[in-house]
Amino acid sequence: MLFNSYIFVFLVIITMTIYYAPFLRNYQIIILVISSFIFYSYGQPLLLILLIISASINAVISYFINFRELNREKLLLTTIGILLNLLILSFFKYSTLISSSLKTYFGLNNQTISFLSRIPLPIGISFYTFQGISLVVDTFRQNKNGCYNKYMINKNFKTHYINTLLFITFFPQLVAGPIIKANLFFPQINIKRFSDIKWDYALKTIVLGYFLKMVIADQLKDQTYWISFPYYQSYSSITLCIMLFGYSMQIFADFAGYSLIAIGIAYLFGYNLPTNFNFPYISKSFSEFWTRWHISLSSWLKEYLYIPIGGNKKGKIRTYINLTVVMLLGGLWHGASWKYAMWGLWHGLALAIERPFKYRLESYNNLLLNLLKTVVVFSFVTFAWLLFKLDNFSQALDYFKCIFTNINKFNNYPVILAILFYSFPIFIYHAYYKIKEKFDFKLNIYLKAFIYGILMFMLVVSSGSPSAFIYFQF
Amino acid sequence: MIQNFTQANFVRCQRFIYNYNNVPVVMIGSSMSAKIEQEILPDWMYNLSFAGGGALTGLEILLRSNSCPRLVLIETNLIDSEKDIYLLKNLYKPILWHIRKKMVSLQLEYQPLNLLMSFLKENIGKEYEAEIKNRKIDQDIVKSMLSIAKTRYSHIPDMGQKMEEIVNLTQELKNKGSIIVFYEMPIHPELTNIPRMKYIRSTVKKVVDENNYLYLPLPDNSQFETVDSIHMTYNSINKYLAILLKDIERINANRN
Repeated sequence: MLFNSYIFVFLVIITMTIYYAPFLRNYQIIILVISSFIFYSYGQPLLLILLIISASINAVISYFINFRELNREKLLLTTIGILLNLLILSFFKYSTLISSSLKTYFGLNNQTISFLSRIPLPIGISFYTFQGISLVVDTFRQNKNGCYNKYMINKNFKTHYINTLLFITFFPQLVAGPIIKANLFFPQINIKRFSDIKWDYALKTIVLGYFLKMVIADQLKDQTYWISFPYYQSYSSITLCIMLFGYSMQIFADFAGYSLIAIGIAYLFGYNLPTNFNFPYISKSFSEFWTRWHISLSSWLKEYLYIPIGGNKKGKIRTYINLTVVMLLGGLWHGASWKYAMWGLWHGLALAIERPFKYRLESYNNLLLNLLKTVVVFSFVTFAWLLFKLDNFSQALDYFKCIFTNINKFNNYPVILAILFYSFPIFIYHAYYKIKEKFDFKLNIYLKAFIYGILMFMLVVSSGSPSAFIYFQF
Repeated sequence: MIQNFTQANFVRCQRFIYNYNNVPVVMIGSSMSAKIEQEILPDWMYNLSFAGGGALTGLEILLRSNSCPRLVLIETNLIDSEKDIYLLKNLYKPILWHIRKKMVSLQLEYQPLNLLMSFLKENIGKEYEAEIKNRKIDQDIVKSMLSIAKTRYSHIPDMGQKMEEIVNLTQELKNKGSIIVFYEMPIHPELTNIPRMKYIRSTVKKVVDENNYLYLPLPDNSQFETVDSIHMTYNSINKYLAILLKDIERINANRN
């Protein structure tokens, strides 16, 4: 069920009506769970079973971890929980990669390989599996520094089970995040009141999200279509550069738009989801980029992978290795294809190479150098997006080569014009943030209302042709 | 101004649905036929072909629009294309497609941004259009695309169910009085007799014979040029159109 479909809007309205009915207040969590089931099963009804199984495993394991006294039993249960989650993820997500690799590199081709290649990919599995792992690990850690404490796992198993179902299946963030950690979500599970909704924040977030997705991303997607092989080979260097720039804008608008919609809708039900994008394209370093892009994922990877394998506490060389490995796995998380691993490796190496010079680079702080740093980071990140768009690394290299060799080829002015046109709001969006930050500038309330009015008008009359969110495929 | 091919598809369909559904001659096909722009066609003919399109989608639009053209020309090159359910769903949104009849600004080509882009194009795009039409063919691209096309279209398509559906839809149109005509768009000569094309030809011919439809003679592909082994150049499009219009004249004369 797409966020930009009538059926989804209908689902949200109906759910809100029932959810805030005073006589049904005690059933709010069940209502959200049922709506989430409807949301998920609309696209893949059979795979709802897998979602429920995954949530159930995490509910049972976290419950037993919490009420066991012996540390070794907790550790064993935690390990089992993590492994089960990873097993489900590997089987459903990476079986095609494994089977195609066995076929390609080892020439194997039998019934097992054929079976593996036909395993369906459940939407959102990467997201809900990570949330399941978060629940299991957080329960084990009993982290008292955050909001989480052992009283968040309810003594009544039925209540805990339903809370876990909500945590895993909560529909605004179920299929494409933001990934929320258990220690941030569970404390929010309680009765919500209609009068507590901050409509201003929720509606502005939703309108902005839909604008980024439906007006910007959906329009840009039709222009960046020509990045595909072999079409890009006939375009000029300028066209190729602009198309790549456009794809960078598109992927931001698509994913940030989705996240904003998810955050806004979750807010309507009384739940705060973490910010997932914080103006990433103004980053002056790769490490800064990863504190601004897909923040929930990078935060998850840091807390549940990077730090447990040593983080930066085991010496310089080990830190570089840890960074590279975490990013490589983070890349693979995006998709069952070696190109995503390459993408992750690309970013990992950038982080590792930058690290020794990080503090010195940060000390160079004048306007021109900051601009240069931003351009370098943006260019690097943008080139890496080619691995998302094209089928493999050799096509990405070919595209890059064409940028230098296609100087005299055909300039596609309509594409160039359209990309620059639709990218302009993203540039304004980032520029506004910088100005606000530097000069503590606030827009007049009437001007803000006018701008949001324009965004809504554009949504109605100027949406692009609808498509699924890019991150749905992960 | 149409900004991209997705919009072009939509606009073509919407123009047909809201303004041209009474035209006597309608073409249905893929991007190959879509290169024949409406501006060079006579008033009595509408080209409902579009990128990613094909017989199934076009026929569905004809029937849903209650259109009953005298002649329906169906391209066979990509006759096995899947029905574009997404396009159909968006064209015929339950309430919106009725509202769009009355509120023209909700039709895609009249969206504010498209009107603005048209204004910009009028002022800076004319030379570009001429450049596009007179562009020299890049033979390296043609060779590279030819090799890809030979691989991509090397398999024999599974057409059983699709042809059955096409026959059902065309029969509905025939029962309303339409004459069904199949035609093949010129492509690179080296692709003319690949197994896929031969198979499609024989399957369509069987359907034509069984249902008393018409099949236009295959053009001599060596007299046409393509930009990418599949899509013709503008000059070749004009050349082909002249032949097609003569064929249509002949069919009309025979029927009269």
